[in-house]
Amino acid sequence: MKTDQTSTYAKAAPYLMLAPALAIILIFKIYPILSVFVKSFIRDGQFSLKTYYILSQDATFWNSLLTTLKMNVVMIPLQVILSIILALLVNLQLKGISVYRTLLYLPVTMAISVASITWRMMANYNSGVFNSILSATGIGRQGLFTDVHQALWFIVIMATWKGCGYWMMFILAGLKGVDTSIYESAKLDGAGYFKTLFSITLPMIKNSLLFVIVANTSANMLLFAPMQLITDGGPQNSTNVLMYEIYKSAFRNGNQSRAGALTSILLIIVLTVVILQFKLLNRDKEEENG
Amino acid sequence: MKGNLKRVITSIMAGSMALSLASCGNSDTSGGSSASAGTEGENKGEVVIHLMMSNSQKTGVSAAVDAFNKAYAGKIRCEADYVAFNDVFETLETLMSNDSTEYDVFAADGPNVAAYVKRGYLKSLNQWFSEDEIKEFSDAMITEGTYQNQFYGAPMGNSSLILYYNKSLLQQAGINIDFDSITSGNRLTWEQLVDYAKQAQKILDPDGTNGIYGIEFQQVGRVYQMNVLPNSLGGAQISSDGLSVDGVINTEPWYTALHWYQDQVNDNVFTRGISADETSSYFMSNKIIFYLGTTALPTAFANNNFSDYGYTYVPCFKGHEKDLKTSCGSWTLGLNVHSTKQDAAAEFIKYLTLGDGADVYINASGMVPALTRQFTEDLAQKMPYMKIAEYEVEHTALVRAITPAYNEYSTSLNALWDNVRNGADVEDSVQNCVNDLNTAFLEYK
Repeated sequence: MKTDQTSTYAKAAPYLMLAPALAIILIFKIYPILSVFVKSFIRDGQFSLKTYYILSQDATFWNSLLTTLKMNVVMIPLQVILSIILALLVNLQLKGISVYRTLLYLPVTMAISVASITWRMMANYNSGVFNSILSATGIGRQGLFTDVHQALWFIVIMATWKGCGYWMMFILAGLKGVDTSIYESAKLDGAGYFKTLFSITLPMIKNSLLFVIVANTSANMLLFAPMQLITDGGPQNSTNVLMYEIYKSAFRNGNQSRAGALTSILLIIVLTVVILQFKLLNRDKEEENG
Repeated sequence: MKGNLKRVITSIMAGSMALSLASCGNSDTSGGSSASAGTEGENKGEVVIHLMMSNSQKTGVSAAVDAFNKAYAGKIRCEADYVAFNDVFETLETLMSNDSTEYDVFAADGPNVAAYVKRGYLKSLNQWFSEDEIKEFSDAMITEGTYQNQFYGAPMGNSSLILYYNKSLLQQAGINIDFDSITSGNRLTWEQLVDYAKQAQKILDPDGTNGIYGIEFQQVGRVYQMNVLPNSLGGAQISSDGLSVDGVINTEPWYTALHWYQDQVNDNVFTRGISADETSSYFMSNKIIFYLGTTALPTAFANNNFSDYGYTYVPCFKGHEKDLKTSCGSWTLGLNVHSTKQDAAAEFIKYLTLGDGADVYINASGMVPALTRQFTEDLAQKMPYMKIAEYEVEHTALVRAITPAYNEYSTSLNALWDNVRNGADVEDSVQNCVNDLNTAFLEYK
């Protein structure tokens, strides 16, 4: 009887320990998601598909969807590749390398709102430091955040500056976990730097990379602070990403139904991309197991 | 045993959920501080009402609130919160879309009244304001505060546009303009103003390194003042049903105004890269020669010890003297439809808009009176520029777009002005704006 009781409590213990976290996830994650999804079908207190119908004809929505995808198609690979390069560099055994590591991580410590305002000031057409440099070098003043062709890419540069140090640290942690004897064996076998990198280093840090790619995708898909604080979605909607469109619908225009529909669409996109990334990165493992 | 385990887990889960929900619910019902404050107040036989106001109006409103609290001591007390101008609209949307009772009275910017009514945020004031009382306000302000024949937004004040000029810069440039000869019927034209500005800039800042600009609007990039340009060429704000800009902003007056403005920005006459929050500092630090702003500015100038300025009537476009339009409108006070203290709140609104509070507000804020009776000789002596404002309110003022989609309208139009200022193609920008608003207005059709 006592053994039975002990075994029951042993079985219950993990559930009990998980319960608070599960409750928080249910209340603060799952419930809002479901609530937003339901709201997207409610208009004037009644069930309606009109919001989705209007969205299907809404040029602003399609433009913001395209902008979101365009920005992320460039930004996610850029940040991941740069983070890998930076991690490889700061993983070198050199005197004073920790100083570089700290410098590269420094932008992460700055709040995104502070970073946005600082960059806005630095990019000011009249008095910004970027334009002073461009002017002094003879290139001439550029619109940067106020130019329809430059604004989105300047936000990509800013977000990359701000984010790479963070992702670099996860990859660096992965690199530190690789047994150095493997590199020595590869060297003895005559493998060059790039052969070692692509055949040993990257496959060995696959789990770190998977986390970085997935987390980076979610973070960048939901990026909107620079759009709110610097460009206001402009110029000419060129930085009006889906997340900013959601913010405007919910908090400026008081249109909960539209905000709900846009959030549901963004959520589906993020989930789809993340699932695809999981599938692709786990394919080799499955093939090995299979 | 398994059943017991399930019960234990279920109880814990339910307990956690209940606790969390209870804590969430608290923030809602606390509606929050007002309810508790109200109870506190009622114990003393005093009803406490809560007001949310933009901090841009703090000087005038806080003086009026103090006067109200003094006049109604022991009966009604108002506690006011002043929210930053850039956050006030979003704070209001967040609260009211959740049926909040946190504030009994809130600041509703004139053109937003229709939108707030459409969303069910405002209670009609007709049961507290008689027809005669409503008629005490100037026509433009009645129009702004009324939606579907019901009066929702009681105006605290009005606003107008005045052309300020920097005396010292004009003197340094050797530009002599006979401002005394300028009257409402004999104004400067925009063409003359640009010419004067360019002449002055050539002398004061020949190579552009001193950063001196010719002309700027106080609220650059905002429809409130920028639309004056197309309006003064005969362009309208919005269609008559308030739900279209197609055929309104893609017309000759708008294209002409937008091209003209872009040309002046490109010529460095108007500024680029300076926000609406910064323009007054530029004017006060002798960086802008001609400055178009509201009547509230002299108070700000005095607070900053800046006195080297003059003022005159807003210019018109040559050949369009009769089309001249000036901006108007201001904050109104709206009654929260969910307020549980509506009578007390309405009493407060009447005091601040019709009663003694209105006078306190006008004197402290420098805003243009919304009540026609307030244009007195005494006011004109104290604030001589009010004579200009009085004329503009009566003859040239054009109310901003009346539409339930004003937020969408102003967001898109503000972006249009910014895009044009930043060098975007005018025709493309207008078309983008029309497309944006065509779909935005669908929500209201």
